[in-house]
This record gives sequence, C-alpha cells and structure tokens, in this order.
Amino acid sequence: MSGDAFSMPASIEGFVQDQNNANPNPKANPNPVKRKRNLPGTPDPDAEVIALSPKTLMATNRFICEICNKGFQRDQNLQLHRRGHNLPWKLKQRTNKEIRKKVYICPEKTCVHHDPSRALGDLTGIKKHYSRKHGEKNWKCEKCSKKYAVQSDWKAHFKTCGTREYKCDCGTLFSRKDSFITHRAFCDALAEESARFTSVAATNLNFRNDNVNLTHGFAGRGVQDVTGIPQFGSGFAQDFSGMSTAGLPEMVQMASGNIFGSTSLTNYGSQGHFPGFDKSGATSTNSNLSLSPLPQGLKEEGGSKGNLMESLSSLYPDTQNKQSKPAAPMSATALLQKAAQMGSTRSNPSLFGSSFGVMSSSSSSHTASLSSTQNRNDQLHQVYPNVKQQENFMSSSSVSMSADAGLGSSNLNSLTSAISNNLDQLMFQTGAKQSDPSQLKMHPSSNSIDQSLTRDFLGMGNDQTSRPFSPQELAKFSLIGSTMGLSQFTNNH
Amino acid sequence: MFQEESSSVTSPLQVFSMMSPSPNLGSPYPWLRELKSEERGLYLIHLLLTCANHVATGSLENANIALEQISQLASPDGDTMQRMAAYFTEALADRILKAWPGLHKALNSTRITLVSEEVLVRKLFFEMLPFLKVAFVLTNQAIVEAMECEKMVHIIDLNAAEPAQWIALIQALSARPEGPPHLRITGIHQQKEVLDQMAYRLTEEAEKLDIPFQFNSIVSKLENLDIEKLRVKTGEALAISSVLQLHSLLASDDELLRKKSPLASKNLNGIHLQRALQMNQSTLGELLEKDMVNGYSPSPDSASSSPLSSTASVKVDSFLNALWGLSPKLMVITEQDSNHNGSTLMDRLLESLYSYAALFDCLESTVSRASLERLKVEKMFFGEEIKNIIACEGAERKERHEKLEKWIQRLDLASFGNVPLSYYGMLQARRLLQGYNCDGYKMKEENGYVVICWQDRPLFSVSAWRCMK
Repeated sequence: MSGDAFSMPASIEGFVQDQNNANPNPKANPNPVKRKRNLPGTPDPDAEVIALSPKTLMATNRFICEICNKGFQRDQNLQLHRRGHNLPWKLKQRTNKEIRKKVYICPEKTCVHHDPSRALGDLTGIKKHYSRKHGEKNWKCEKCSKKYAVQSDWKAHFKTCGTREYKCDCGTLFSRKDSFITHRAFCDALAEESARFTSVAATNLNFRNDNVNLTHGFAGRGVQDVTGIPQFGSGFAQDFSGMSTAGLPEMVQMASGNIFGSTSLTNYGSQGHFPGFDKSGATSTNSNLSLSPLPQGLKEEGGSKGNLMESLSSLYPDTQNKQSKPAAPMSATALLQKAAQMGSTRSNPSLFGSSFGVMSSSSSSHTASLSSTQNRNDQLHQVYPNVKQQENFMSSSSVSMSADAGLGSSNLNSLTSAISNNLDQLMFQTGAKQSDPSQLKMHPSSNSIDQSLTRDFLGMGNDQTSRPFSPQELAKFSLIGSTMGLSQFTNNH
Repeated sequence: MFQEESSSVTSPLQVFSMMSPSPNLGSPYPWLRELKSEERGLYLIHLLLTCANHVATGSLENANIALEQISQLASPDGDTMQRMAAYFTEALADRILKAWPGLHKALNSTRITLVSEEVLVRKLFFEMLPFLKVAFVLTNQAIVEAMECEKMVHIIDLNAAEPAQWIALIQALSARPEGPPHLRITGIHQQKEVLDQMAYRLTEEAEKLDIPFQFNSIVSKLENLDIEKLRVKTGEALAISSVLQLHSLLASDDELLRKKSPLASKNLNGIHLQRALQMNQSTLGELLEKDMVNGYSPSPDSASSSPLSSTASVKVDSFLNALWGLSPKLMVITEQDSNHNGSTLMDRLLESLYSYAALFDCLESTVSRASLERLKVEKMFFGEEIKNIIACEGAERKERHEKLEKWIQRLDLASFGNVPLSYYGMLQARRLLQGYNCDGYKMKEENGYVVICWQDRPLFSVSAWRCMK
C-alpha cells in the first residue's frame, strides 16, 4: 500500500477535512534559520491554515501498520517499522521547496481559536489546547485533587503542589505571589470581616461600653499594661478626642469594645494632659498583647484582644461587683423619695395621688412667694382644702414609707412645711404661730388619729395647716427652742 | 409623742433645725459626724430646701447660715447626696453672689476654661453614661432607614462634638446593600478645633470605607446660625440631628417677658398662648384630676408665666421654622426630659433635685467613688448645668430643659410630623443598655418616642420628625 493515502501534499489550499495531515516537517529540523515565533494567537498572514478534526487532534497513534496494527505517532516511525515486515517503505525527505508555515485552528466552533486569524502555530500546541479546553480531565493531583486534561500539565503541577503557597484570610491558596497580592487587595472576605465588626458595632459594640466596670476598676489603679494601648493600625492625633474616639470603630474591629479607649481615658484623666502617642510608643508599653505589625494580622489581633478583654474581665470580677454596688445604702433618689414621704404622712395618700402633685406644686410656688403675698395663700387654702390636710400630717405620725414616688417634687415642699410644722408642734409656746386664721376653717374629717395627736400635744387643735414657710418664724422658733427646752428634745432621741 | 419609726428620723432633724440659726454653736458641729449617711442625706435635703427658700425670699443671712451647715456635710467625693448638695449649694451661692455683680465678675474673671478639658469631659459623659450612645444609635438607625434609597445624603449636626456618632453612621451606610450614598455632613460648633478634629476623623473613616464624603464646618453659636451657610442643595436628602441643643434656644430675657405679658398675644404663636391661657383658666378642679405636672406650672401667680406661651418660644420657633424651610426628610431630636424651666427658683430646684439625683445615682452605680473622671463629669458637666439652672436667670439661663410633651407640641406647631422610631433601632439601643450591666437604666417607648429612664425617672427623650407640608 502506498503511503500516499496517509500523506497528502501539504500544499493543498483551503480546508482539508477529515484527513490525516502528518507534518512532514518535523521540528527535529536543525535550524540554521531560527524559527520565528509569532505572537501567540497572531499567526503569520501567509501561513497555511490547517483544520483538523477533533478525532485527528486527539488521536495519539495515527499511523498504523497494516500488518500488525501497531500504532505510531509519526509516519517515519511507521516506515521504519514497515522495513521489519519487509514491506516497501519510503522515508520522505523534507521538501526543499519553500516551507509553508502551517497554522492550526481549533475544531471547536465556539472557541476563540476556531477563527483562522487566531490560529495557533503549533500542532502540539493545538492538541494541548484542545484537550485542556474542550477535553475531559483525566489526570488528577493526589494532593489537592485538582484535575488536568493534559498529562504534562498534571506532572508539572504535581511537582510544585503544596511547596510554596500564599494563603489569603478568606482561605484561598495561591502559588503565585502576584495573584495573591492582587486577590488580597480586593478580597471580599476582608471587607466582610471589617463589615461584620462594624455592623456589629453599629448594633452593639459601637457604642457599647462593655466593661464600664472594668474601666472603673482600673480607674485609679493605673493598669499600665492595658492603658498604653492605642488603636492598632490607626493613626490618631494627639488630641484627646481623637485618641479615644478613634477607638470606637477601629477598636470595634478589634472586638475589644471600649475598654482600651476608656482605659486610655483613665490614663489621661489622671494625668490631666494629653500625652502624645504613636504606634511605637504603644507597642512598647504594651507587654501583654502580641502586636503583629502586619495589617493582615487584623484577625489575629482581634482575637488576642478579645482574649485579653475576657481575661481581664475574669481578673477583675470582684472589683466589678464591688463597684456596682453603691457604698451608701440609699441612693439620692431614694433619699428624696423618703424625704417626700415624710411630708405626706397620711395613711392613705393615694386619695390625693396625682392631684396632690398639682396642688402642692402650686402651694410650693406659693411658699416661696408667701412672705409677700399672704392673700394668695388664703385663696389657695380655700380652694385646696385637702392640701392643707396633707401638710398637717407630720412626720411624727405614721410615716407611710410606701413608695409614693408619684407625688414627686411637691412632697419636698410639703416636707419643708411639714418640718416647720413639726417644729411648731414641739414648741409648747405656740402663740406666735397664728398667721392665717382663715386656716382654722380647714378641718376635713379625715384627720382622726393625727389630729388627735397633734391636738393633744399642742392643746390647740389642728390649726397648724400648712402655714407658709416663713423663715423668720422658723428662726424665731428655733431661738425659742434653743433657749428654752433643748434638753427635753435631746432626751427624746 | 414620737412614734417609733419617725423618732429615729425626725428627732435629729428637729434638733438640728432648732439649732441651725443659733450662732452660738461653734463649728464644726460634732454631732454631725455621727450622722449616718441616710440621716445625713435627709438633713442635706432639708437644708438645701431651707437655703433655697431663703435665697428665693432674699433673706441672705439665713441662707448663709444654711450654706454653712451644708458645707459641713456636703462633699464632692462623698456619697451621692453629699455630692449633689455640694453642687447645688455652689449654685445657690453663685446665685446669691450675682446680687453683687462686681463681686461676681471679679471672682470669675481669672477662670480658665481649657478647650481640651471641655472636650475631655464631654467624652467622659459619652463613655460613662449610656444616654448619648443610645441617642446616637436611635438617631443613626432612623437616618439609615429614612435614607434607604437615597443617593445623596446631607446631614446637619447641630452640635458636632462627638465623631463616634457619625463614624458609626458611615459604617452603617457603607454596609447597605445598594452601596453607600454620597454623604455630606455639616457640623456646627462653637470651637473650631473640635470641628477640625471631627473633620479629620470622619474623612479618614470615609476614605477607609471608600465612601464619597465631604465634611463642612460651621463655627457658630446655634442661636446665631445663618441658615444660608448650611448650603442645602436641592436633590439631596436632608437629615438633621439635634442632641441636647434645642433647649438653649428657649433662653430669653425673662424680665422683658413678664413685662410684656399682656402683649404676649401678639406673638407669632397665638395658638400657643391661647392654649396656655386656657390651661391657666381651666378649673383647678380639672387640674386636680389630671396629672399636669408636665411642665405647665399651674402656678397662677402670673398669667403668662407658663413658659410655653411666652415669647421665649419665639427664638426656638423661628429656628424650627427655618429648619422646616429646608424640607428635611428627617429630624431626630434628643433632649432632656425634665422640667427645669420653671419660672421660680423653687420650682426649678425641686425638679432638678430629682433629675440630678437620678443622674448622680447612675454614676454612683457604675463608677467608683474614687474615680477622677466621675468627679470631672459631676463637676464640669452636671455641676455647670445645675449652676446654670439655679443661679442664672433670663438670657443667661441656657439649660432650659423641658418635658417631652412640650417639645412635641412645639414641633407639632412648627408643622413637623412624628416618625416613630424603628423597632430595630430600639432593639439595638436596648442591647446597648444591657451592656452596661446595670438594671437601673430603662427605656420606655410610647407612641414612637423613646424615653430613657433611670429607675422610674425619665431623663432623656429621643424623637424623630419629618417635614409636613
């Protein structure tokens, strides 16, 4: 059989379909003339375009011995093999004609290289391209289970798999430094992480002072370790507000809440000035935290800081507890309420609940101006009979300590009048006290016990209605008291 | 005579009050030392009220004696009541001293106020107490929600002192799904350094998050603010944030006010006045029934004394109208929710005793007594407010806190409509409060307004408004 069937003259123009087209010009040609390499994808304009079928491209052994069906990749190999069968063989010489450059196009229609203007200049190249792009990947790396269609690719990868890698925080591995750097610059995970912190911040951490108690546990102790810590990776001005407010978002990112900002506050507060801080200063004062200088350590820093915070909170649980309790048993609010209670000693103050507030506040404003406007008082007394009853009830009678906070500020005033009345009661000399005879009228029936008490003591009935708070009289009484019978009172308590 | 319960409480009081005006006793009164803190606290309250009364009625001799007594007991580093008493008496003394203007000026002439100290104290207030943080969280959430689809956002901060608020907002806006808007923040403040610092911090943050951002500084007092300077452009969505600022606009010359009271009806807010007059003229019985302590001091000593009707509201009303004219999409107002704007000293003293007791209690339960920061906040922040409320009158008295209801009325009149604060914002705020590990802080919500309380005492309110055409 002639080998002609298998070799076609390379000079046929146009597309040759479904035919083997062995390249009679092997690369083994020693080249005094160096082959000019075109730019990839930009073939020589007068090169010959050859289109091979996928089967042809993928075929490994295209030259088959008809006798023994052995396959050869090259025609020359086949010819030599045929010699062994004593078959006629012919080695084709390279034609001396001008060598026509050949370029190959990919048979896959959707491929870029299907276009002759983007043909590839190399048969091996087009074969590999076809396998890589449009073939199935049958070679798998053991280490990382990455798949390859071309064996040489697979081999090359296997050699370097796991040897040198860059890892982004988002978990992506890179073998190349440049791609790693580029990726990291735009990595979504980084953005997501900072966003996570800031969104959490916006909800919780941003304004949350996690360890207010901690802070104040530090106050006055000078926890130097912690206080020196400024914000990592954030520039801050010497200005104090810059210092600590910088804390909020950046520190939030570090998941360390306000502890550092506050403690640095503590430091400044005690020093009374704003020491300049810079990063180096911070790191030097900071012995506890391991500061990784790289910004990529953000995550780690956050973690370590978070740990520090937790450890600190565990360190100072006692101080927190101690400080959260007010040392004095009574808060100012409670004291005020109690004082107000003393003014409303009626057993059922609820009767006058809210209204009392109004009335007394009106009376309070009166007490202030009363030294000048007694008449006013009379009017009010007539209008607000009940009020006066309230103020009659001295603290000496059953002090109803039930929280009656609704009475509010009014009661304080009743307290002042109550106290003044109290004094009046104590004074046996009560003659001077009749300032408002009109008040004698005001005796609603409900005074029962208290009235009797006061009556007994004063011997003059319950006419000590809320007399205007007149300082002069108070002074007078006090003087009287001091001159006459201090002893009797001191005995009583 | 004394019943058991009372004797332990009242007898010392009686003894003390009897002895109080006597000049014969040498100081210090030895028995004062033996007072237990509760008794001492009660005595301090009594003395404060006595003293205030003396001051109000002009009997300075007695006031002096009372002050002397208080000074034996009060102390800025004692318990809550002692601290409060210290600042209240300082305020009362300051008030007395104002009767001699020359003396007063001379004593205050060499006072140095460092900007850095002011900044520090503001920061301390922000850190130690949750009120500002809660206000910021609610404000920011309201802004984020209102600006949901806006591409150009302009925010005006009536008191740009705390960058933390806007940093948080920048972060929240950058995280929104449709991407951040073009953001402009205009900050108003009296001190240029503060604004510069704020500009620096915010620009840095915005650059970090890659948000187009611009900060404009306006160095001005709020009452002298020139609306034109705000440069609100058409097409941008405007939000205004006012944190504890509006009440200072209520300050005005009260003397002039009282004189003009019959003419008050001529003012812009005729409706205001009528309402107030109706209040005053309504039967006292009505007043008895309703709990009207909301700030309408029903004292009928002068017809126009209720501050709402007075021309004091002109300044704030014109300011609100000017703001309305800018057509803001949202305005969030944080204010103190207490009535410290009573016309008489005693009114204000009584109310402020309660409010500041609550505030001092907040500090007591969260900060140690030895803390210098706490001292600074108490002295330079609260102390100054107390001094202003008690010692100043007229245009000088800037801390004119009023109850939320009054603000609601004012804003209604200025054609603003209420925007209820979002559930999510309140959730965040609550979580924040819980982070303070203190059960005293409570947050109440009513009709879309949020009131932050300590125990049961409302202290601050946050409300959001929009422009109604």
